[in-house]
Amino acid sequence: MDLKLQKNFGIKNVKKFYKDLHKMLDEDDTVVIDFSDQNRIHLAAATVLLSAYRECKKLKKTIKLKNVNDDVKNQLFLAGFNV
Amino acid sequence: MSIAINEIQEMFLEESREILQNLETDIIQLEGNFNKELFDNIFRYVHTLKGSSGIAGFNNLYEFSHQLENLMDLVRSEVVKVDEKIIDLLLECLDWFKSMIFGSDSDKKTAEGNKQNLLNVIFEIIQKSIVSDSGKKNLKSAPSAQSGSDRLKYYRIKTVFREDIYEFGIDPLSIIEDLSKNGRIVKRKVNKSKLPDFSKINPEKCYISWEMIFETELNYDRISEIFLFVNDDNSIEISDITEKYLGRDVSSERKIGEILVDKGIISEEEMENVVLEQQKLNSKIGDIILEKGLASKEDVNNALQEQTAVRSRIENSTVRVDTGKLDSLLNLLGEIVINQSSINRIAEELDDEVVFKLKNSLHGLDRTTREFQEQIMSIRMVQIGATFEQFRRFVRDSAKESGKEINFVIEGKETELDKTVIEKISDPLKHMIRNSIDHGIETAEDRIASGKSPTGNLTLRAYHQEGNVFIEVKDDGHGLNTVKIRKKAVSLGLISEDEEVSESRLLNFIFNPGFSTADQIGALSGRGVGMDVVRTNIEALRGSIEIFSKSGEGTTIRIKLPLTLAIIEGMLVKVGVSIYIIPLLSIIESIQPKEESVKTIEGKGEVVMVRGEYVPLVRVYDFFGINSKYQNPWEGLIVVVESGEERIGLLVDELLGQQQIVIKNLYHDIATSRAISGAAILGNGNVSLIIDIHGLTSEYRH
Amino acid sequence: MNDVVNKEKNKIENIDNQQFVTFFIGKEIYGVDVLRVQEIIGITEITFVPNSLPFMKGVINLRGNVVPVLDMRKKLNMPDREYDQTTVIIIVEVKGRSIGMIVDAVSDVIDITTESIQNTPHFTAKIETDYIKSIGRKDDDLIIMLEVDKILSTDDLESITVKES
Repeated sequence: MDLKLQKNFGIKNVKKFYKDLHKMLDEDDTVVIDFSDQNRIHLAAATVLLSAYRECKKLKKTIKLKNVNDDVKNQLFLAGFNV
Repeated sequence: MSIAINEIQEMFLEESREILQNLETDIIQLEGNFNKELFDNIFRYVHTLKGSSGIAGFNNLYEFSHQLENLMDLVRSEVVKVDEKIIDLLLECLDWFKSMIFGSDSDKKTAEGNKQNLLNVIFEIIQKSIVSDSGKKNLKSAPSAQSGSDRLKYYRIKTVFREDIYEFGIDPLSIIEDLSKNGRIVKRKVNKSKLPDFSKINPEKCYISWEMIFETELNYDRISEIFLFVNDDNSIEISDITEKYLGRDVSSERKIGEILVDKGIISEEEMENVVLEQQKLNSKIGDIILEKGLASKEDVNNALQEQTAVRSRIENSTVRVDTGKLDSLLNLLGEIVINQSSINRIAEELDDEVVFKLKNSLHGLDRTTREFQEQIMSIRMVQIGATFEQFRRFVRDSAKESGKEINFVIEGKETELDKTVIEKISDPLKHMIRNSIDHGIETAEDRIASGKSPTGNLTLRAYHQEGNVFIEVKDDGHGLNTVKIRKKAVSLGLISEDEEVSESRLLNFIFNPGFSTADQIGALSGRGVGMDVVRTNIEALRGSIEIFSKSGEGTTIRIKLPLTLAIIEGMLVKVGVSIYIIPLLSIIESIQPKEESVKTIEGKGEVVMVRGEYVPLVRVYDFFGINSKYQNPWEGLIVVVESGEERIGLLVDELLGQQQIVIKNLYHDIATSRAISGAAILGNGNVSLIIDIHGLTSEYRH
Repeated sequence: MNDVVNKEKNKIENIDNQQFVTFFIGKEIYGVDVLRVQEIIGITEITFVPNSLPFMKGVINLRGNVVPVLDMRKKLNMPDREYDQTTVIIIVEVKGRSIGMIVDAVSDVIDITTESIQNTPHFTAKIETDYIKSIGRKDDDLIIMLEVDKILSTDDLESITVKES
């Protein structure tokens, strides 16, 4: 299942992002999140992702990120991902 | 949450006003005089602007300043050189920020449209420089090869943010990202131990903390600045571990003795002895060193400071305070003063031995409250520098516009003035400066022709004198043409054709309303607004304005302002049952006139002879429509007051003495008369009105 | 914005009882919205302000604030009366400022149901009506409700000036 992040994604819509992601992980084994249009990722979103990754490890599910630009990659690294 | 955001935005507005002003000053100074430190300042301002606009949620500004910062980075790494084009671009960007932040809706729209143009220019410069400089850049991006270099510093940075930090509009990740752009994160440990299970996580809370080792060329202060907005309530620890990291030192907390030995102040041998002694005596090493005279007290203190510096944390020693809070503090203090004087009055009435003691402690209280008042007033005092500096741009632009060469000098930047006064002084000064540039200073050709240097000099100067602040605008232009002023004054009926008038009085006529569109006198004309408006503004601040001019040599306009607006020294006068306050500054003297020195002169009304001169007589009871004890001037008292060049005599019943007055403003619909400027509360709790001499004089004339 | 608030208020007024502070001026009973009344104080030293509006009695010191007080008798075109034991100053809040109204005596705080408030004051008094909000009825008494926002309004100022000249 694909989840495309909307433009200007930030702290305001992180709750919705969390809910969407939660729902998708319930329904599917693989979730792909599309980062095109994203120049920044808020720590809140990164934190949700971190937690989701852990969950996936336990449940043997997968989250994939696609179209991540270099800035966001760097941000994800700083937020604790091994990119 | 929405309240917090509003507060943040308000803070942002206030802060960015300051930043933009400083930016302007520095950019102008950069022109023709590049220096790295100055540019670093500019960079820091842009950086702060970026940070705070991000926090305040102005993404537009954030992105823009980010790009600008990229460009400035290239200047800092000496890839791009600062030339006229860059200065102009910086100024344009500055104007863009101004209109985006403080502009009207239409300004914002225009700026919004212009954004891409500016960004394109920025991109173009960046693109060009990167192509031509790729070689250099590669060199720079290999920092590990020279990690032993003295310029590189290593810091351990630990950050633990509040859980609710997002609510303040702060994204810690963007701060860490900022940090990473200012150097290299050698080691990063992201602490996720607090991160809850996916199903239990609250996405709007911050669970992540960092511990990093950071390599950079920046010094400690600059690193702290990156965390400028988060230091309250969040734990940010920054320590310089350069020595330790590079293996030059094993312990980050060295002992005082070691520091002194390292510095060569005491020898190792001596130190060993000291340590032995210390084990015996069980006292402090520093004390023993001092006792033995091995090192001076200064050395030991320095060593101590060095020791603590290692553990230093970010500390903020200033607080931003809403001026409204200061005002209410001052009001409360005013209340205390009033209550105090009523206690004083009661003490006067008592007749007992105890009274002596009471009076003594009241004296003490009086001293304290006065000091208290001075302290509060001093909080309101602001240096005039920032206001002055903002004119650099204005002078530069105006000079360019009028094709003149002007050397602009600022003196007395550190002069302090009440914040309210400073806010209101800017516009009048602008007028005066503009006038000097447009009509005072000549063109380069004219100056050479009259034997002057081609560059005109314009000086803006502030200084304190006898409890007043003086501000001068001085130019070395051609001065005012008194012949033309005289003609104009005659045509306006201010003087008669053959009346003898002193030069200074003539000059001061330019503050009269009739001279506002004074193109005819050539030497001084504003852009539609005249010097009379300037004078009105200054007088509203209870100040006065004077002009000095010498033909061919230049003009000086001097403003005199009270240090503060909230408190004045006043003379209490009685008229009938009413008590009025006359500002002491306006009073020249008080006299009891003889019957024969009061006359009525046709066309001028009633006058009274004061030291050989007739001054208009104003019967206060008549003017205010109240009853008085005396109707005859020779029975009552005449208080001679001065407003600008004019003198009048006020007839009152008696003087009650002078007193410090805390001014309370009256709404204009309460006191419709211009002769009343405010009110004050007296020792007995009654309200007394303050007479505005300037207002009274002009109302009397009409 | 204000309009919205006022509309909201009207709505609430239509369903709820309203509380009013009532007072006497002469034989008439007047009322002001209790929410607008800050306090009621006895008559105190009043400083006359020269060349001010005819109904402006002067200013008083209310705990360090200089507060204007209106003589409601003058405001309502009624003959002067000596201040006595019952004379009080009702301090009301008008656009963020405190303003005092000198009245003959305070009567009561009463509840009035909306049905007994007539919104159209079509009575024929000599007074200007823009600061009269409505007429209420409590038992057999007629109560004139004042709109405190209007007692210092500039419209009023102008009409007064015209009258004086």
